[in-house]
Amino acid sequence: MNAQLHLFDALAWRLTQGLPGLRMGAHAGRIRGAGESFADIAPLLAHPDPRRLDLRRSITDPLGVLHVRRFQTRTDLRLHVALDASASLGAVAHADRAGLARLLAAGFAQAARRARDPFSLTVCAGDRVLHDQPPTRRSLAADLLDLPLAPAGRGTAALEAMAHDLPQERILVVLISDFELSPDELAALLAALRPRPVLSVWLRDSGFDAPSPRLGLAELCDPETGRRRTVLTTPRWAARQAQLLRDRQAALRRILAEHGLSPIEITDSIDVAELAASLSEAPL
Amino acid sequence: MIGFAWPPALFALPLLLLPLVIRWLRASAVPRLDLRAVEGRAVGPLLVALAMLAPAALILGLAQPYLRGGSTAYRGIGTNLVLLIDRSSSMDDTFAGRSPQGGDESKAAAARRILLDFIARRPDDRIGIAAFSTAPMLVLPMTESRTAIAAAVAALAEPGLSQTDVGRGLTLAMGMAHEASASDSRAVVLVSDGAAVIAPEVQTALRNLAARRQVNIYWLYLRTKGAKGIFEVPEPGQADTPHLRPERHLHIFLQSLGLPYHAFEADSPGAVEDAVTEIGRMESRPILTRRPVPRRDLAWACHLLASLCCAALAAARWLERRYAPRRPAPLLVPA
Repeated sequence: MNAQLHLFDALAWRLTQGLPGLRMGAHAGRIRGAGESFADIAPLLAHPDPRRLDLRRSITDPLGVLHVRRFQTRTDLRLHVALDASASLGAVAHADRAGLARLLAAGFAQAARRARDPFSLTVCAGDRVLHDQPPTRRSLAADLLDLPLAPAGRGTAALEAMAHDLPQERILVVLISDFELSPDELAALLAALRPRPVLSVWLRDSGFDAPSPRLGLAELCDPETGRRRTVLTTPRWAARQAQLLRDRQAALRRILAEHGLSPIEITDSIDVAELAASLSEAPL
Repeated sequence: MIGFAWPPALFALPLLLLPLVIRWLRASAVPRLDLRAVEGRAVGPLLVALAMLAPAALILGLAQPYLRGGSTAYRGIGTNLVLLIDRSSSMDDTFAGRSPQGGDESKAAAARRILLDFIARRPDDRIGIAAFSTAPMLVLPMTESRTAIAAAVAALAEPGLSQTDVGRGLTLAMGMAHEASASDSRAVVLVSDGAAVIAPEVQTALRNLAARRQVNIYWLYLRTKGAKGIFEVPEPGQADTPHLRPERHLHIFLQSLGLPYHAFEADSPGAVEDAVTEIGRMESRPILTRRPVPRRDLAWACHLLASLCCAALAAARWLERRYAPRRPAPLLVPA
């Protein structure tokens, strides 16, 4: 898997708004100054940088005011991966979602390193923080592949607490979760993350989307609560399960859309090319 | 009331709590059950109940439970009946006065056969049996047990003795009838083919008994061919003493007791049968009697229940499915 980390080099993210900040980076800054992208023209007296004097504008100015060209500065952006490792992530049918989450975290670390952005990570399991990596420019990708990830706990209390501690600017939060949440829980979490730009990555297991319609008895255990339920599985039951799940997923998508988010859905396996394409189109 | 033949098995009963800890089916992890469709909620408790019921029934079966026997009181139609049967040797002769030969039936055998039929037709009677010959014999105290009564009647097939002490036999039978019940009707059925002189002191005792409590007396006189009947009045000039006509004088004595008394004279098995039917008709009154309830073994029911529970649990295992098969895909889509 280590050898395939380079696939994630293709991931790139660009915010629609300029970022404040003086530290050099790869993202469009809000401060005007030296750079490659032309921004606007300003009076020389307000921005005394005669090296970028705009001769054409200065000559044609009817009042004879000298103007200089201003450029967009480049700045860096902290990429913060918030990983929801509640116990539901450990439920496996057609996808090892814990493994997917670990690989995604490592992939984003790899991409952040490539984009020269600082990378930080918080792994939350219910109301506990399993792992907290402060911002760093070191390459963590290989280490993260071996990150011990034991999904546990329930709810999003630790994620919401983490959101309150995050800076509000110059940060992109990548929320990796299976979104086994109720609409209210998701709305509360997204409200806590606002106004930061959030990239939501939805880890889905197609096995749970449509249970087997064969007649039988299935004992179900909720990994978060430990609650058990024995059900008689029938085609009608399976159809009802699938329908309810579709309804819940639609409700979650609606909540995300209300917060201006369009989740990147990863079902069973990661297709890096598709992920990169989705990332470039994500509304950030 | 339930009893157990091997109670130590009941110490294993706490084992039936195991299904509360160990589940019968393997669980598959499915996130957020609370957000999924709630259906078939009763299946789980039903399986747990079956898993608890199976060992419980098995352990109870090993303890061999049974319902204690006894008897229950109920109101039927019948009477307290004492059969007083003559066991004199003359009863072993036929109605013709000969020893039974070939297909002939003796008076005793005919009486036994007809009485057995009579007893079988009357399930509510409480019956006691006494016999008399040289001395009165208590054959069977008053009882509701039909098998005991039938066995006692059948036991009268032994050859009879010589004498006929009917007086003391009647004393014994009336005493038994008195002790049988305080409120219900009582009857003594005397079956004999002859009589004897009743001593004065026995007559006094019988009159005292008759004065104490009412007993219906029936005399089924099995008249041998050629013998004088009990209703025959001797012609004038003929001797009429108890020694010469004991049957007639016993009839007169019984009439004089002041009790309801009926005499039947039968000179053939058919006549005996008619007489017995008539006695049965007259002695059909409400009676508070007891019905025996035998001890009933319940282990088979426990084992059957345990088998059914085990079969249901086996069927549940056969029907066991995972919510979704566990086949995790590779993390990365193969290039």
